[in-house]
Amino acid sequence: MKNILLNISLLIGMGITVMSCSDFLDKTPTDYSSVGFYQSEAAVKTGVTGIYNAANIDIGYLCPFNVYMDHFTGLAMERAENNSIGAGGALNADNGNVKNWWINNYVIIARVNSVISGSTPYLESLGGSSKQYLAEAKVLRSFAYYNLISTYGDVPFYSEPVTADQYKDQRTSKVTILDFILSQIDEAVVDLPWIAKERGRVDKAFAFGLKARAALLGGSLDYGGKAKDYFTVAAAAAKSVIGQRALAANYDDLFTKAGQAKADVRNETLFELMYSDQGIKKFHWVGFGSVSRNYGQTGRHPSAILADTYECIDGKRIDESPLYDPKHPGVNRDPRFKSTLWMHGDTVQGNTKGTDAGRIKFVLDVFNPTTMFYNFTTSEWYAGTNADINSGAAWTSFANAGVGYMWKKFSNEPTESITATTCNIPLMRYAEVLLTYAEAKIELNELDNTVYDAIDQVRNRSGMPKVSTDRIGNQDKMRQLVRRERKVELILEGLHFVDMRRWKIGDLENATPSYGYPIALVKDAKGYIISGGYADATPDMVPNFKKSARHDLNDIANYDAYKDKLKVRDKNRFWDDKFYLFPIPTEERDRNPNLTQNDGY
Amino acid sequence: MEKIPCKLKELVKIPKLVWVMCLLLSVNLFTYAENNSYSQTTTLTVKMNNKTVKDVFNYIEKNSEFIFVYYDYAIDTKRIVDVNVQNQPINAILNELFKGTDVTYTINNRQVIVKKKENVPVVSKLQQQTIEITGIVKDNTGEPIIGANIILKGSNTGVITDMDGRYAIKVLSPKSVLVVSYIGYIPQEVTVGNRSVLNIELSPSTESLDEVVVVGYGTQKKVNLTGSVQNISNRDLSKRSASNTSVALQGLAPGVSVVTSSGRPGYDGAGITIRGTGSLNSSTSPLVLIDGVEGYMNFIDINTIESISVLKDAASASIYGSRASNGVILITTKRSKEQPIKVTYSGYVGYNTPTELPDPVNAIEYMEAVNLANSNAGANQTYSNDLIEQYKTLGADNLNRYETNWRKEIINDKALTHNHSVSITGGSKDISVFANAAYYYQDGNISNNNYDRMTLRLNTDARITDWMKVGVDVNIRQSKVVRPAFDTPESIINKATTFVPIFSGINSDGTWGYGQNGDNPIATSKVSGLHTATTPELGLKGFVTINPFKGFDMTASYSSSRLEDKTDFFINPYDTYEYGVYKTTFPATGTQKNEAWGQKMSNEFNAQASYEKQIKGSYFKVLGGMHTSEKSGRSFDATRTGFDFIGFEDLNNGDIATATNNGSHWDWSMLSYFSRINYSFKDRYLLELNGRWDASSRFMADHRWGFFPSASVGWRVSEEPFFNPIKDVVNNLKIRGSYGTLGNQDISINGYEQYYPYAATIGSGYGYWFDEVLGSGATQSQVANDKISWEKSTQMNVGVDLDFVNSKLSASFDYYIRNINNMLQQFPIPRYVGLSSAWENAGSMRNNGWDLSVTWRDRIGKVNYHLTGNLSDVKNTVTNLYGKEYIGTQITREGDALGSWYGYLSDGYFQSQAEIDESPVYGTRANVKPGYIKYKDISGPDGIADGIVNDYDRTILGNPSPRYEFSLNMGAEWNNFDFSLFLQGVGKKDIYYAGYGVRPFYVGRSMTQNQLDNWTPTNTDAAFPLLLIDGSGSNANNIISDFWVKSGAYMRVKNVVIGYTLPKNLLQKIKIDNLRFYVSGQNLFTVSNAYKGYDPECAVSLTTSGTTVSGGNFYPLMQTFTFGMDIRF
Repeated sequence: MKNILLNISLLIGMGITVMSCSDFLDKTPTDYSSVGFYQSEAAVKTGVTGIYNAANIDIGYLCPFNVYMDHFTGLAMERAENNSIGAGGALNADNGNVKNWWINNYVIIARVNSVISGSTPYLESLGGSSKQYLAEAKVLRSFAYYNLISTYGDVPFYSEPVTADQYKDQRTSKVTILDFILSQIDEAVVDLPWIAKERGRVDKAFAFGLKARAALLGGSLDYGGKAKDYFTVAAAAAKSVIGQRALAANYDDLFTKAGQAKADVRNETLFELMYSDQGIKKFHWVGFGSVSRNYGQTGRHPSAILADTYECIDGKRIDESPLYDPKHPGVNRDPRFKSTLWMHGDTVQGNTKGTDAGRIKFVLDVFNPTTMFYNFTTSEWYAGTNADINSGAAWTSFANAGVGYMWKKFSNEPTESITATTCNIPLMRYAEVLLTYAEAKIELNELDNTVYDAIDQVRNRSGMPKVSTDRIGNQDKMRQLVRRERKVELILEGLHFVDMRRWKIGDLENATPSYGYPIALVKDAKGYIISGGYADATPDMVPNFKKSARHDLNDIANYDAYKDKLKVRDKNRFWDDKFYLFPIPTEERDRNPNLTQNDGY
Repeated sequence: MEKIPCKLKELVKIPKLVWVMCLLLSVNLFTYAENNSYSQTTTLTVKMNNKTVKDVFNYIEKNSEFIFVYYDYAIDTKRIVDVNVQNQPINAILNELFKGTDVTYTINNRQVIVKKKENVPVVSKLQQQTIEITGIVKDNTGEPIIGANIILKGSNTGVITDMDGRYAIKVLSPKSVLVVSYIGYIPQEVTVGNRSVLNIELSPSTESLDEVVVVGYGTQKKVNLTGSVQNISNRDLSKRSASNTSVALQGLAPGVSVVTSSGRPGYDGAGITIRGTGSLNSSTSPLVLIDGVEGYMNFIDINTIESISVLKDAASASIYGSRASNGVILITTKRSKEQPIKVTYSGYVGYNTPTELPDPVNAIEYMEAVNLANSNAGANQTYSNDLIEQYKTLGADNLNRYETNWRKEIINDKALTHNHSVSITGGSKDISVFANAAYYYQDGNISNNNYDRMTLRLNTDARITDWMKVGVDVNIRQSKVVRPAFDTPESIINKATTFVPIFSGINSDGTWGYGQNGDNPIATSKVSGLHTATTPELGLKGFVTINPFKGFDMTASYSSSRLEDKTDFFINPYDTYEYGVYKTTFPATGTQKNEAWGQKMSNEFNAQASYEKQIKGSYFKVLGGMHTSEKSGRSFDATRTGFDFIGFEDLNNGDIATATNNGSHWDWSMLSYFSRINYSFKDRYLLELNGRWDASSRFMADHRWGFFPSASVGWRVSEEPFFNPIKDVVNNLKIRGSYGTLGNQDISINGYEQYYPYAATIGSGYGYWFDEVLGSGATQSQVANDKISWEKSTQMNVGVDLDFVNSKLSASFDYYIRNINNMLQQFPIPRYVGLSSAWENAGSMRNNGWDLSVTWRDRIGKVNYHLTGNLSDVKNTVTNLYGKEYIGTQITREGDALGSWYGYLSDGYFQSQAEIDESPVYGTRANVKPGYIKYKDISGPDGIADGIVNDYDRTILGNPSPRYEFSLNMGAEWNNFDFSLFLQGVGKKDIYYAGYGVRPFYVGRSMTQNQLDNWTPTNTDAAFPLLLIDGSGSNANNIISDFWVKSGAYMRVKNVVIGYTLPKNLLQKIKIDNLRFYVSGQNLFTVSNAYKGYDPECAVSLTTSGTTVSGGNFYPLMQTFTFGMDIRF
């Protein structure tokens, strides 16, 4: 017994001593320690990859932000009527999109600040491509700040990790931030190649393109009364890219999986959101949320104002061209019309499974309960139910919730499943740089051949004629053309959202209800069209672009003369000038009451 | 050698008191072990005349360290003796004492073992002297008790009374002791003496004053408690036939709030908070200890529980220090004593049916409502009059026109549940065993959803020597949860009640309908594959207890448990069709297999020693000990997609190019010392002091140690002489008071525990696809603070316990103030920081409240009945946040209750355009129409109404935390019938409804019947505002306002049981001790003002924090009807 007791007490004594030792309580975190992390090239690379991870901002349902944002303009619409920004009162300080857009951009900035300040002590010893990665980070931070000032105006501004004493800061002037963006890019381009080796990375062309884009914003909105300076910067930045990259041969290739594999598309695409069908996939629902109810979900639609902006093939606006036929609006048009939009009568090809069995091919119909489908097994056409008209969810279709047009751009994918498409989404193309150059020069009224050439390159690529002689030397007419080109060339790439604000045309685009295709006036008992529709469209059914000089300048169609014959939605649509800026999210002002609210909210 | 400096360093850091205590402990042991000559060196002086042998023993025990060990029957301790010795060693005294008798003794250290001389064969002698005893066992009213147990103490012999209460038993000697017991009565021990007829009267066991209650690291007589401890016996728990322990606890203890938030099989455990929410970011759950080891109360069979103690105040809980901030629940499982082997079976079978479900509209109602909503918004009509007319005249054919009653197709009204539990108890003097095997099964209310659980518990005790006991406990569990692979049951049920009725579900040709974009919850629940989670758990505990001398008790235990979590699922896509045409295969991502494995290991070591002693009127007990706890976990999972061959579902069969895997681990540890001193004087004045020192690996070394002391006092007023005159009326009166400190370090974010909260870390998993290949990325996502330390709470408790009129009426009342300080929290920082905020020790809040419990027990004629009412309240106030605020739909700010609903005040509807034009509006005026909710303009930037409704006009709308929780437990027995009724409810609680729950057409969904009562120019005081398609937050009607906040107060008939016990005389013939049948119903009836279709107790959304209620996914609570039986052999 003596021994047992001795042992027990020894054991307990030992237990107490051993447990007292700090080893027992020192546990090492399972994540990397942030102290001194960024002292190797590998660490910097990993950290910068983490920034790119944040840059793919998804504010809709698997829909990249830039595609989503053009639906907050008059050129496109979301499914629910009177609901998108500009079409109703959805824009308020509690709006979820407004909040997420704010948060996501600041996450990019925070990640950049943390990598840059974390690696600063080791700059000398960091080898390999570290400088390039850090330069990429700086450009991405500029990108995020551009997103913020272009939507919110003045915002809190930091180029170092935010410290506790900055939690009650006020907003910084957008001019200060713009100047930072411009100088940052100048600093970064030194370490960047003209075209990134690894697709998806920031390169010099994008950096200069972003500089041009940002300066154009400052010029158009006359930041700090320095409009001319900014236009000059924009033109110069754009000019430096011109010649370094080139347009792809085929416009359609830019927006399909197959086309994007081509070298010329890679060359035109300066920066893009990367998707992948390899290994661990990354897909989006841009197509799924856009296409016919016969194989997709349909949540976002183009507007007639956009469709009617496309010139006829002769280079003239539809109200001015003899080639325009209201019975066949898609005929004789700028080829980009057919590249961007699908409409009644078009044959659509898609896929629901990503296999041969999932192929679907049918004729779009906005009127009838059945339409023609193609049977791939028998190679025969047959009449099947048209879910865009005749299904429980038909109200969401391009015919009902839309105005008769459907997005083909990013959706034209016959082999991949529509619910898992992986084409990249461009954030900047060479075409934009050309048009930005032209616009800056036009605003500076420096109309020379480089301007016409820039615009011609974009137009000629799609088979449209050169700038017509009556526009040469005419600033207003050139302004009209470059705006028109930006719309038709770049729609759905997120640029019009800011363009509308730069050009201050929100009131024009959003003044009336949305009108669309000529409706069926009489239908038979089974719902088939008897009269009305495109077939009975009359030659006078051409929209009026000249309601005012501003309408004319900005190609805003007006349908009042025959609106009763047209599909209509958004009857409560209205514009309020406060919509030119997003409100500062309520949550942010709750957390820092020193942030002022934008006017009107 | 390296370790030495480290040890020395630590030695200094450990609080001195601990060391003194430990030192004492070991010195004591060493002295004891080495000094074996006590009996030779100690001398005693005994001068006693005309005293019994027993008196002499007692005297020696009191005045020395000797302890006498003997069997009563073996020696005559009542023999009168005279002893007169001076300064003699013990053997001289004993020789004198036993001179001329057949008694001898041996001295083993301090132990004096007294027995008969060995040449006298005790057993045979006793056998010759067998005496037969007969008698009748009656209750206090004179009724004979049938089936009472009469056991000969210290043997395996026992008999049962017959139908007249008679018994006959053979005993060995007049010194033999009979133990008479019967369920519901206080057991009695009677020494046979010279009698041959022994009639015994048993008293019903009301909550007896001798009741012993399990407290931290020990037990204590209930009368001596100074803290606030609630004891719950197995009887109260098991009669509920609840699906798990937490649910069974509901309403049994005042101040213990039990909220069941889901009826999902395997996930229907209730959330428990004791005396209000105890923390902002750290854990708010009480510490649950099963036989002293941290465990999961919902995974043990209720029949294995002996008792549950809830330690509510700081003084009772503080011996658990750091982990006890939210109170402690001590679960003691059954153990066997020395007794004949008994087998018990308890089982029930029954069914579950949802208490409440939203009632969706049909196809025609839906289409008409959509059209109304469109016209309200000035939008186009979605469904043509022709189509609606077709539905009305032709109906749906599910080929050209669809109508699907999703709820009916998906949700089954009745789901089977059954439980079986077999226990074996028994043992000899040396070894005893309690073994239980149980099986529980619960079917879900949708297809392919069920839960089963097998448990095995083995509690073994062995006596190795007279002074040493060892034990081994084994706990094995395997539970399995099955659900559809592609979607959660909550989401499927949500879709069942919100999917659009004109979507296709099942086509007339038997194919699956297209649902919403291919998502067909009927097919998802039936054919999308299975998700299976199995959870094997193995818990082992070994302990040794030694009692080397009287009053000293030492226990060391080591426990190890391993909890695994193995899940796998295979998503099996289904083809959907609409209008006879193939539409899509859902999910479009195709086949997918995932296997995941996680493991939590927990090792705990505990060593404690206590010594108690009574010196005249003073009683004291000292306890000291240490505890270490080390936990770790790891997890691993792998996924592949692209399975080409049906039936081959192993990961290996998938496309290797799609293979992904993840893995991680964590660990943390705690080291603690604890000590307690109890002192009582004359059984009237009670004092208890507790201290605990804790160190957690969650904090950096300099901030690691916390000290948590407490003190409590009690005064048993009824024991005072001056109380005697009224003692017949007031049998017991005790006043208690306590004050103490507790700690918390169990930090979590959205339910995910933070193991290294002090560290600034960079996490991986933020990759990006360069050149279409996913590259790894990392980022810091949180600001760090390495100076964080313990969150502390202090609690003051005063209480009074009263018993009246023969203990028929008893009452207990406690009032407490609980202050939580140095709260560990992440203050909301501006989003522009881009990181989440660091942990800080900052801020305070207070919970003050009271608990009241009143019990009445009596009988009317042959009916025994009892009533227990519990009522409690707790009020939370945030007292200091350094001026900061947490604002969302809930606000946490100084001066208000934690997480109060925060938003706008509504003022009815706008009834006309004129009213809109002249009123302040929220959002854009052009957007507001008659039938919209009108909001009050109560403030502005300068604190006065400014004519605009914006964020300045938000205010507190209500409090989601329950207050005035009450319960009433009634029971009665008549002849062989027993009946119990249990009511439970909440007096005040505010529920905010949002999302799918109350918004028509929310994100493409349908609406419910009660939403048809919406505003129109002719229905101006409707329950819902102007019907609009848009259910999102941008609709001004949907912002948070008191319009959507409803009272969540309710009262419900929680449980009714009617049982019948077969008469003993019948059972005796077939050798059955006891057989009872019962029927039971749960959640039978509810009174509430909450929205129809939503149970006020159920969390309608599981996506936000567990206790708040908003729209979204939920699994309805269940009404349960069971039939069961208990049988004992």
